[in-house]
Amino acid sequence: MALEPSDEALVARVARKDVAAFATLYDRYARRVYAWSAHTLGSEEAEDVVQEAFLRLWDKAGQFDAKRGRFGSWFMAIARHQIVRQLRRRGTDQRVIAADEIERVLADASAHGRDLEAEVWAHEGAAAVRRAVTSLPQEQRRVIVLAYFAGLTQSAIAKVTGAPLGTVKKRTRLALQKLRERLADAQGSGWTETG
Amino acid sequence: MADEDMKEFEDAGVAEELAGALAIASPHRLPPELRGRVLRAAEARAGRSRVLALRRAWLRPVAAAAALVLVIGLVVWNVRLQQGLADERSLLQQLRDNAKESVIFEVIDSAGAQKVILRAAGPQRPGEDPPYGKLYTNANQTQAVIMGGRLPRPDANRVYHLYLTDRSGTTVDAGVLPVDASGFGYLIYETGIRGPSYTAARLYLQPADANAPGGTLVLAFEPR
Repeated sequence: MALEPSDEALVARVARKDVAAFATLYDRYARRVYAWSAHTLGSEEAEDVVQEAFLRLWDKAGQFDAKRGRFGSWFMAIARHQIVRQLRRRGTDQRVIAADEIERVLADASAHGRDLEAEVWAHEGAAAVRRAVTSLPQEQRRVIVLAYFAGLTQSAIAKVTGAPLGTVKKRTRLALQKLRERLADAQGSGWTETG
Repeated sequence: MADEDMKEFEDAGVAEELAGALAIASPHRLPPELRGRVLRAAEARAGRSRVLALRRAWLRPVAAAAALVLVIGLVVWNVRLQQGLADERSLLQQLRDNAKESVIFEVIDSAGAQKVILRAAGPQRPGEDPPYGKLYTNANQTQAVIMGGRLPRPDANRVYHLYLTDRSGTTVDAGVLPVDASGFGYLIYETGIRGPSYTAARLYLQPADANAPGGTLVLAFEPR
């Protein structure tokens, strides 16, 4: 069985304008960008964001440096930039409503998380992080979702949640620590649990 | 989230997996037709890049040729500028060396001085620098000063004769311009009016007793 090329090998080919490599990276990452955009910006705008993020990948692939980090981190930072840029045109209230929905979807994994196709498709790390997010205390999950998915600053989160800024920072750090540990466990142990 | 937290979040790979986690749990499904649209857009960009690369390849020699022409033009312009400057210095220096009348310097070197260039009018001999001249007037003086350089030595029966035309169209005989062995000469013409102004100046090579324009036109400043 032939090994699947790594993301890093594919992005190097994209830098040489290899459409087949570009298509493979699209298949690996488009769904993540789309789901995030659809929850925060709506389905129609999500399609534009996906297209814009991937065209930026097409244009900027030569700038990716594997020594500085993983492709997935690099590309999702590009996608996040596109999404947050669109979100900034909307009011904080709309962003909070979108974040609330994401939080509900993540917490209620049992309702949607049995999608076999999704599980097969998903990187095992995503499944591990999903489980970790589900297990986070609600207030920690909320700050992560507001910060990452809705692009709110910690000061804005403090205002929205009514918690002191110091508390928001503490919750953020605790949540990050747990997510990181769960991800490291999953990657280190070759974790394949799906439920 | 603070910037350093976000960086740590992304470096640890948590960020991308968090987005993956949402994709697993989300009811939103990626529209299948979007894939073709994105790939076509990328291919279109690739096509544009190729066209641009071809254009750039074609433009490169043209740009290089244009740059070369520009450099040559600048060099020629600079040489002419230097030559003009040298001419100016040469004429003034010769005037200082030769002129005895202080009125010359009151006309050409004091406030209110104006000058026009007289250019060679006839066909030039190949390889020879053409003759040239300058006409000075001054708003505070009544004299006009005319200088000429590189003027060919006139034959025995002819002299350089200067004629000036004022705004009313009247042409006057300003006199004979004597020339030394180097081809340099100057003439002071008393106009009788303060701040004279002329629309044309012509230097003819003609018989010594002539008193009207005619003969060989050597230098001219013509109205535009």
